[in-house]
Amino acid sequence: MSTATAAYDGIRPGTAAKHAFFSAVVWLCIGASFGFFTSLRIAWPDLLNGKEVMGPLASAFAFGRVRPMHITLVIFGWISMAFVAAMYYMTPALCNCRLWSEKLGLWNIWLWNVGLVVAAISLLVGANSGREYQELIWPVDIYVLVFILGFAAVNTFNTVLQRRTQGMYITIWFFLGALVMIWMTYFIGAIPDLFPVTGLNEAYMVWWHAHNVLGLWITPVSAAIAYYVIPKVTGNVLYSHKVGHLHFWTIVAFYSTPGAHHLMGAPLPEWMKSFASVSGVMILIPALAFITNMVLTVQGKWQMFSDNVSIQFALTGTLMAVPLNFQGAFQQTRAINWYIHGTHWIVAHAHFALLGFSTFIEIGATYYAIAKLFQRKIYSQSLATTHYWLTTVGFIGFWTTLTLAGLIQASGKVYNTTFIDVVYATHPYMVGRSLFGLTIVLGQWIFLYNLYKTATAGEPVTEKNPPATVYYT
Amino acid sequence: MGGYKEYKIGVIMFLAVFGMAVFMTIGIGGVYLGSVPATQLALEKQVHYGSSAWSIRDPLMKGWNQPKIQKADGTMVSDPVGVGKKIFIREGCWHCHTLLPEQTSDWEYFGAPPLAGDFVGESPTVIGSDRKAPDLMHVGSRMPSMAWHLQHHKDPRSVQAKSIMQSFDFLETSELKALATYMVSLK
Repeated sequence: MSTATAAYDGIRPGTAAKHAFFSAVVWLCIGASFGFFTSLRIAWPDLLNGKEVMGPLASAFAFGRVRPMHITLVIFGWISMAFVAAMYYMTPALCNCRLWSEKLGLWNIWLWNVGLVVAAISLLVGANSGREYQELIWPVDIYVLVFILGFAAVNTFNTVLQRRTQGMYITIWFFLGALVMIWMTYFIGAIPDLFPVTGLNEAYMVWWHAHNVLGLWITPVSAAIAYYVIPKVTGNVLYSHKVGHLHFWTIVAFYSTPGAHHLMGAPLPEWMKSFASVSGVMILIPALAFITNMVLTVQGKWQMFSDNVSIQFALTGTLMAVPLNFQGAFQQTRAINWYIHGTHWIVAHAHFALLGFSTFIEIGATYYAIAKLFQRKIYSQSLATTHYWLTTVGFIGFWTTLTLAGLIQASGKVYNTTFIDVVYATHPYMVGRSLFGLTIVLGQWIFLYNLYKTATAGEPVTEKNPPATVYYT
Repeated sequence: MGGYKEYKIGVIMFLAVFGMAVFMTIGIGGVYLGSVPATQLALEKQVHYGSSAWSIRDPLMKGWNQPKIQKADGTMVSDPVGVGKKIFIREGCWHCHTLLPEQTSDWEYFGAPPLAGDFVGESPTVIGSDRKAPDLMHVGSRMPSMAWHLQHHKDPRSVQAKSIMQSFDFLETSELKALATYMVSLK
């Protein structure tokens, strides 16, 4: 392997993917920790707060500044970077060729890391665009479009261009489609920053962006990664490539239009709300196509759910998509939305999508790819299992406490209860959320430690110690 | 092998489907929303707020580029309402406080929902989505006292023992005043 790789722009194949996976997991730990920090603020508002305790840092670590940082770091630091790490690892593997440019890949990841540091600092000093899920100021937006999303797309598209396989596997379809869609989505989200778009039009564009970062980037690419990891690790052939394509085309057609369902309470025209709501329910078609396809692919290999950490994480994420999509599809219809809008229910749902579904699948892919890239076995299976249970139990508790708090808020809203009484009633749930949040954060730091030890001290895979046993203990 | 020629139809179909989705939502929706006429309230907000978005002329969001008003002694100062809104954005108040009574039973508790034309010219609108704290669209009618807002921002639990708002005692006095002026202006 080494002789073949040395001649190729001087960098070993897989280097960009290694850097990307490790950077992504570091951002996961930092981003999740800041999430925990903001949750403490809601549970105990006087903790680490105010000028007397925090001194000159009081403003930087105020709730309203750390919260957007948590979101930016987990969405653009962890999830998106893990996606591009998966693209840099899986695209060459599926195209039977090398990554188009390892050098461009490394530039991409390190400019990305620099960009995230700049973004975090800009949010902490208060430079905030005031647009939800699009809080970065316009110079950072342009940086993201060129050096982060642009570089990743150029590298992936050119890799597919030089492929040595006939046909493209479904994962590649999703990667390429999603790279085009996220670039457009991010650009449309940045339009109000760059051009004088105001009023409801601005609010609508911002929510169109917020919806489609999830709908056209996080949802499809998470699924694309599962389409690779689950057949690959179980050794089963994908149940149906056609159903995979049904998933791809329906997600592009139906899930690109429901942006307005985030503004059901706003004075938008009725036709926009109805159109968004109906197309929002149609998410069930791609979601069920995906879940069916994955579950049928695992046929005969279900024991791997308990003895292989990649499958454990990837399948848990896939199965989470069942309640996630039913909840999402129905909560955005007017019959339910008026009740739970603006409550902690929505926060629980957002974590369901980003943590329960997406993050679980990416963690599965990360365990698999790190073991492959370093040709070593995972350092500690028991730490990996600990990571799995801390994340799973933490997430389920987190979701349950927030959903219950959301229902309290919703009934308070409907019965015109004095607002402060509702705040007071949800306090125990906020404390519970912080504790479950801490469980999740601990799991992720264990994950980072385990990956670091795998890279440095994992048992090497040799001829006598073949990779077939890598995933079994 | 290689190249995308064998996927010509697929690529065209993808661009057509995604392009159609963008056209229907952003295109038609944008033209529709962009043609809503401004209400009296929207015009008043335009005068006081100016542009509240982050600008290279005001990188730390201190309100340096806000519209100016003339004080009684003839000096020109930044409109405190506009500065207050900028601080509202900078401090992320809108992550808990919405500026949008919904078109449901909110009518009874937080007052009338806004009209589409009320937002014309305002950017960012910071209507918010996560209501951990009371809606503020009509807070100036509910709570018209400047002194209450000043005290509330400095030490929330001194005026509302069960409040979970963090204290904003790190803001400068002028900033606290601007923020309170903005709150009172939201009638």
